[in-house]
Amino acid sequence: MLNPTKVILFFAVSSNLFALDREEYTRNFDKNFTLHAGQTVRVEHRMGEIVIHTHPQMDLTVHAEIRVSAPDQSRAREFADKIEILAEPFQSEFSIRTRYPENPGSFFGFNRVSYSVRYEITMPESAALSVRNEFGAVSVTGLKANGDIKSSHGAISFHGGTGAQHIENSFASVEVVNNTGDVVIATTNGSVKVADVSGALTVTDRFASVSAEHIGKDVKISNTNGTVEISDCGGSSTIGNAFANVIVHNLGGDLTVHNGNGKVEAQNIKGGADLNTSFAEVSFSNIGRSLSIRTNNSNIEGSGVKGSAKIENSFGATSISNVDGGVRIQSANGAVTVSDIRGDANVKTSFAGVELEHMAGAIDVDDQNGAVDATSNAQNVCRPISIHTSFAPIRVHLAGAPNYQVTAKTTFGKIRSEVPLLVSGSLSDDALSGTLGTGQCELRLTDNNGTIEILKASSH
Amino acid sequence: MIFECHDLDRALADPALLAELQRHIRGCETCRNQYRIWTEISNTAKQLHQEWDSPNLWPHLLAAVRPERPASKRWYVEWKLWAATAAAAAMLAFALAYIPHSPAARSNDQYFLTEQTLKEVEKNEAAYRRSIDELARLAQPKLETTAASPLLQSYREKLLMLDSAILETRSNLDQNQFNAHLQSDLADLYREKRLTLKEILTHAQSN
Repeated sequence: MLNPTKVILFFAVSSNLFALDREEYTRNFDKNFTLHAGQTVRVEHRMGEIVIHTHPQMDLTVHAEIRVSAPDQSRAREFADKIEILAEPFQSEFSIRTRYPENPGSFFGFNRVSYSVRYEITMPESAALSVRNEFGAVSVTGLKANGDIKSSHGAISFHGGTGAQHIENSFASVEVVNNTGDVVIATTNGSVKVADVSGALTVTDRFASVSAEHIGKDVKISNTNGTVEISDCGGSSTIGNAFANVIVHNLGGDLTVHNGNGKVEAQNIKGGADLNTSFAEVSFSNIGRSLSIRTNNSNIEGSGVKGSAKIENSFGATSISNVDGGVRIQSANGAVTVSDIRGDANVKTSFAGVELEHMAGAIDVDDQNGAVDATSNAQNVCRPISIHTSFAPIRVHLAGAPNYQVTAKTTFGKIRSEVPLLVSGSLSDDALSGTLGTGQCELRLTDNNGTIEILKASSH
Repeated sequence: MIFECHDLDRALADPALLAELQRHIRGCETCRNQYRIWTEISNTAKQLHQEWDSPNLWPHLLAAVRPERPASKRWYVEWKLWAATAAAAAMLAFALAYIPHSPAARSNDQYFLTEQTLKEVEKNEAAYRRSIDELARLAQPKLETTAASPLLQSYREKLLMLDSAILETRSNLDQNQFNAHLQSDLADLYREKRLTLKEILTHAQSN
């Protein structure tokens, strides 16, 4: 049987052994080379940071800090001396590689040596760059040529470049600031932040946020489970996402969003907007051309469309105002509120009310089980009105001196007109045919189990 | 049978009486009007029929109408969830306190852990892993359900990716265990896994 005192003593001794300080050894590698025109700089590394600067000359300076931690100085030094920095010129590239020695497990597999190599490289700004790294950050500044940077488990930052940049990462962030040229980024589980890129931007990400601002050309983003935010971009944008919000402000071209279970917000879009989502709200303002929204189980709210608006929704309210073109809304189980429409309005919904205000164009409403309240501001022009609903009232407000050929029909309800009309044919409580003014235009109101009222629009 | 107006409702529900109804409404204006209204309502109802894809609707409805679990069990599960989460958070905070984080903030002597720091990190990592395992155990039934929502499926995929990354990092740590970047990376991955598991459980509870 174990003696408890001996056990405690054993752990006390072990603990003291562990508490002993470790030794670190650092060896520097410094070499200068001259690159030929057209040579690519290729860096292959792992276990440490890579910092790359550029200059206008053709000189390549490689500085590597080789650090080793071990129980004693001699073992640290011995291991550090075995770490090789291979800097080799080839026909089309200059290769810089790190080669670590075997580091087998020691007693009980408990390895006592650890290591890290940090690079600081100054290279010609005109040379293309290729970097592969693992478990270390990569930072590149001032590259005036194409770059291809792939890493994992280490943040990538790229600043002040010119050329086409291709960046891949996983489990760490990517930041690109100021590049003249296109940028393509593919990552997973790492946030992406891009700013001030004159070319086009393509980002593929998963499970992390993506933000882009001041992008000169088109922006294409494919993400899931992470917020996407875009602002102040010159071109068009296509965004795919799921389970997270998409927010776009100040876009110079068209916007297409395919989201699911995430909010969509679009503001100040110079082109058209095609917004799709589900189970989350859609909001918009100042759309420069036409607007198309397809959602379900979403509330839609927005104002300001220079073109026409087409909306499909279900199980959510739709509210839209200030549209220069026509409006076509197909909803189900959702209230519809529309105001200040310069074009024609066509609204279809069910089990909810429809409210139309300040309508300049023709009105066509097909509702079921919902009240319809429509105000037409059309004067001295023919703008036909056709409204059908059931089990709820219809109220139509007409501005000025209206000129309509009226046909109104209901069941289990009454018809009332505040505007004097010339009745033709038979007159009854639930059916009416008559003329308002010159009768130039058609006004057709049909209800089942609801009252119909024709009213004067208020002057304001 | 002598058909009368009060037979109308019965006739609308019984096709066998439709012929009698048709004969009756020829001579009865009141019933004719009633029949016309019912016919319009029936036609309107047919027009109302619409179909659309709502893959998440049924799971939402199912969750909404699911009978309440017994209060004691719910309390127990919630207590376990919050206890496991709190324990995991405390362990993580403790473990992370020993690990230098951003490379920029790391001074020259923080590229490696000391023996004492590594010992503390490994001790706390083991406890933290146990807490995460407990969270994973609670989340497992939600993830394994055949009616898992697309969100849960995506969480499942994320957990697989995180587990793969944790395995890769641990494999590198076997050869380089005092490397502060690797230890920090592993702690970040564990933190991400804990957050993901917590989100899964929160999502499951809210449904």
